[in-house]
This record gives sequence, structure tokens and C-alpha cells, in this order.
Amino acid sequence: MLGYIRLEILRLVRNGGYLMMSLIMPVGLYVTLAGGGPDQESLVRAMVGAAAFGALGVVITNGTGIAEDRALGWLRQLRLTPLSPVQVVIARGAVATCLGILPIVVIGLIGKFYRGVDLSPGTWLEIFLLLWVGIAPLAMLGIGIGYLFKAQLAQIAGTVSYLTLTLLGGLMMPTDTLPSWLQPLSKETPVYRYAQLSWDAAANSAPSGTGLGVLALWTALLAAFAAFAYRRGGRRA
Amino acid sequence: MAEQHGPPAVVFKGVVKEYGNVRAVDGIDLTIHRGETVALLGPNGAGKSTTINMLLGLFPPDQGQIEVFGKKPELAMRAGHLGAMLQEGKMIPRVSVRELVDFVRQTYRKPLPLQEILDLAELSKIANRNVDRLSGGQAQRVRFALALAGDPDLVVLDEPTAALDVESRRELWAAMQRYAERGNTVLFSTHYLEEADDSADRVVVIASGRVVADGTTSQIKSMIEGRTVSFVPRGRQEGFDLLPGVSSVEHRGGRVHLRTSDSDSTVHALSRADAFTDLEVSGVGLEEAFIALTHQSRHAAAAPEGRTT
Repeated sequence: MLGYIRLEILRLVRNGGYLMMSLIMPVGLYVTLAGGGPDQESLVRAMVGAAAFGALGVVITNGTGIAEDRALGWLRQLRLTPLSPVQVVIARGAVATCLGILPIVVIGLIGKFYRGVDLSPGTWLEIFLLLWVGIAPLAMLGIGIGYLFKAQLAQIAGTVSYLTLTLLGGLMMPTDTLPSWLQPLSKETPVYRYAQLSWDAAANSAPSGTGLGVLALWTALLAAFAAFAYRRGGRRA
Repeated sequence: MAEQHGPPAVVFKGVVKEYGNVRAVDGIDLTIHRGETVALLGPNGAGKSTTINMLLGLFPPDQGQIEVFGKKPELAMRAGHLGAMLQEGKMIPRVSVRELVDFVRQTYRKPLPLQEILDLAELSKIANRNVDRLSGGQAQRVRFALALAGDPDLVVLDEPTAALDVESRRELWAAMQRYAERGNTVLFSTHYLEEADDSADRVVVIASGRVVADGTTSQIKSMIEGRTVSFVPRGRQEGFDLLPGVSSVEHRGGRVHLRTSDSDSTVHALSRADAFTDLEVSGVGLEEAFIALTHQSRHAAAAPEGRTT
């Protein structure tokens, strides 16, 4: 399975366009938000939001790539090896989570050296780990989309969920700038709760119990969705 | 040789697969022993690919059982007993021949050495090319290399030479024979009799989702490659099956159709008996032979003592 993870990472790393795209938008977002020279709190908000935005983009795109692989017959080719289909799904999740590191680290570095986000080393590490590990449930959303839909549809579904979750989750702008009727909904999204972990950590406050509960529920739901989609679509591989 | 040890390579028992109302596979019984090189011969739409896909565990049969080395197909695949090359499928971008072959071989427990695979499939010279930048013949050789990379006990090739030119075709068969000579079991499908003849030691003929003939290549050739002698009978209507060379007799549209492996002797005997008018001798095309075999097997199924399979 490690060999498979290595191969998929190799394929993605060689896709320079994909890597650039996965970085350009989050970097642009952070630079735009930080450019006005806001206070530390807003800076941290912007940095976490942009990193989460980048990581989300990577895991969703990785998922929709599964639909393209199926169209090429690659999933079927994998079924002609001793790898089990479940191993393939897990490996894809691992690939997504590994590549999610890239925007997190890049945005973190830019945050540190552009306008100077000021955090203790322990907090930096904490935020890094939370952003990295916390992306796993959203990686499952991407995988589910990739298995459920055909290539073109998967791309549309991926883009729509990417943008919706980014806006609703408050990654671009704080959720209190959303229309009032959307604000309660926003608090229930996995992306808001995912980013909230790091926002809280940066503010040195304990993680919100409700937040963890919502996130746990989403993790279960999205895992079930990925499993369902895999059973529907993986069989057609 | 390994053929005495353990369960057979492949066992099909009463396997049925339907797509809607169409019975793609209509009750196949088949045993393939270790070390055999078997050709699955049949016209397009005979059910060869469906049979192979079930054998590989890509989907389950609607009825019946399939065992591969005594295991369910999916588990046999998981255990590394199987390697396969299918007809469809494009190549993925941004991966070289060497990387792809090496990845697949490392998913098996006891793979062949990388260089040996590349040599066997004649890929050494293009090992650093990306797999999505290959010609049809080269891509086919990569698929072949992937099938045998793990040194599986059974290699399954679904119409491996479809869409290949003569040269690539010859190279592929040479590579396959080198592999079979190592004692591995090989099953391949084709709709060319000459491919089955050149490369297999046993031929299983499939038509309309059933096994209609099963034997050595020379047996199958004599069944398929014969001629048809047809005429309007004069006087006697029976006993034509006793004439030299005749393998089957059919009465159709006032004419008698004899299938014969030796049309000269058949015609000589007929003329001595002065038993006909309006004689015609014609060769049998492969399609026609398949139809004849299908008919024969239906009759055989009705009268069990005369089974051809």
C-alpha cells in the first residue's frame, strides 16, 4: 500500500499546474486579507482561513481525481493487483492528507514572514497539527464525490462543495459577515468547526465542546458517505 | 511440474451471468489444471470477456461457483495468484513504464525481478518513457508486463492481440510462450483459431455463453476446419453418419448437410453409393463452425451420452 501511496503522490507532484493552483488561491487570499495591515487577531484568522482553504482544495481535488482515474480504467487496473479496493480508498485518503500539508506549511511560512503572525512555537505546532489532521473528514468528502460521480460531474460537485464550504465555513470572511439567516447554518458545517479548532488554539482557549461534537458527527457522516459512494461506484471500476 | 499439487487452477461450476434478459454466460462448467495453456476461443459476444471478468473477481456470477486455486476469485487475486490483462483501459499520465511496472510488481509477495519483466515484455528500451505516450503495441506490452509482473500462478489475457499489427502480435505471443514455459498456467481468449493453434495446448470453444467444445488444438481444428458436403439425397435417407470423415449430419430444406474432416473420401463414398443429386462442397468459416458446434452441443445436452464437452 505504501508503494501505491508513493505512486499517487508522484503523479500529483509531477502535476505542476495542480500544485500551483492549490497554492495560488490560498496565498492570494491571505495576502489580500493581511495586506490592509490588520491586528494580530485578524491576521491569525486570515492565516488559518487561508491554510484551511488550501488544504480543503487539495483534498477535494484529490477526490475528484478518482472519477478521472475510473474513466481511464486505472481503478480497474488496480483491482487486477493484490491491493484490495479498501486499501486503495485508504491510500487515497492518506495521499490527500499528505498533500494537504503543502498549503498549510506554505501559508504558515508566509504568515510568519509577511506582516508577522506572532505565536509561540507550541501554538504554531498545535495549529499545524490541527489543520493537518483535521482535514481527514473532508478528504472523505472528496473521495465520496470521486467514487459517486462520473468525471465531469465529479469536478462540478467538487467545485460547488469547495466554494460553498469555504464561504459558509468562514474561511474567507468571518461568519458574522454572512446574512443573519445563514449564520446558524454556518456553525454546523464541518469546515467552520475544522478551522475553529485552530482559531481557538491561536487564542489559547480550550476547544469548544460543541465544535468537537459537530466535527465528530461530520466525520462519521462523511465516512459513511465515502463508504456508500465507494460501494456504489467502486464496483463499476 | 506443479500440476499434481493442490486444487486446480480454475474451476467453474454451473456459472451463469445475465445482463437484463441476456444470458451472457449460460451455465459454464470448466476445469483448468496447473501448468496448462488454455485458449478460450469464440466469436465476439460469445461471453469470453464476461467469463474472464468473473474469473478475476471483478463481478460475481449470478449462479454457480468459481474457484481459483481453491479460493474465491477475489481472494485468489488478493493472495497474488492472479495476473491479468484486459482489453479496455487507457494509460495514466505522468508515470514511466519502469515506475508503473515496478509499482505493480511490488504489490505481489514474490514478484519477478524488474529487469526480467522488462526484458520479457521487450520494454527495456522504453522503460523511461511515460506510459501515456506509447504506441498501441507498446502500451499492450506494458499491460502484458503488468499481468506477469508479480509472477502469478495464473495469467489471464483477454484478447491480448486485439488491435495489434502482425509484428507486435508475434512479439507478444513469443513473450507469452516464454512465460508459459516457466510452468505457469496461462488462459487467454481470442477469436483467431490460428492463435489458439500456435500458442495453446488446449482449446475451449465458447459460443452463446456456453462451452461448446473442449479439446486439444488438433481435435478442435478437425471439428472446426472441416468442410460441408451437401446434396439432395436419392433413395436412402439414413446412414450418412457412417461415411468416412463425417462428423455430423443435418437434414435441412430437403438437403442433407454433412460436416466432414475429409471431403474427398466422403464424396468418393457417396458417389459409389450413387445416393445424391446436386452435390456441393464448401469450406466452413469460423463463424459457421461456431454455429455448428453450438447446435451440436444443444443436441448433446438433449442426449447426454453424446456430449462433446
